[in-house]
Amino acid sequence: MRVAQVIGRVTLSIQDPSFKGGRWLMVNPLDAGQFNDACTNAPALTNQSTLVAYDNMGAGDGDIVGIVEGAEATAPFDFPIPIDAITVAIFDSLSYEPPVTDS
Amino acid sequence: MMLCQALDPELGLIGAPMIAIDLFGAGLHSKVMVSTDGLGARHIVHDDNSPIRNFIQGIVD
Repeated sequence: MRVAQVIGRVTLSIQDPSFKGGRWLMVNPLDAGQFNDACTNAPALTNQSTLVAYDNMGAGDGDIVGIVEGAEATAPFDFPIPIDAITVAIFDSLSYEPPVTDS
Repeated sequence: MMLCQALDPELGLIGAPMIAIDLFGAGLHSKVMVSTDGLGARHIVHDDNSPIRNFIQGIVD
């Protein structure tokens, strides 16, 4: 699971039938240095590739979400569905405290 | 859920952090082994529809 900020929505008029009822969000993965502050102050966009993720939770613009990519993204569905990324959590807070090294 | 980051041979952090579920109560700065086996993770949470992939397998002494 990766941490990302919701930065927009995607709407479709024609789509695969298995997508019926789903929403699509544009999400921009965060850099580690942004984690601690992300849930209170909107973080800046990063250089990481923005993804379109399927959303079943109702996440909105600016929310910090957990996204799962790859085969596990399809696990919540009982039918085959061609998705690459899905939102699985809306975070209240993140604590990133890497150990301090001497070097 | 725990934020985990891979270590290089000198125990420096490398790569991007990932989120893993933790069954063992790992603490801050614990050295852990993280599995990325989605099938195993679904077994552990007893839910065939869980999208979880990363889980902490053990805490390294």
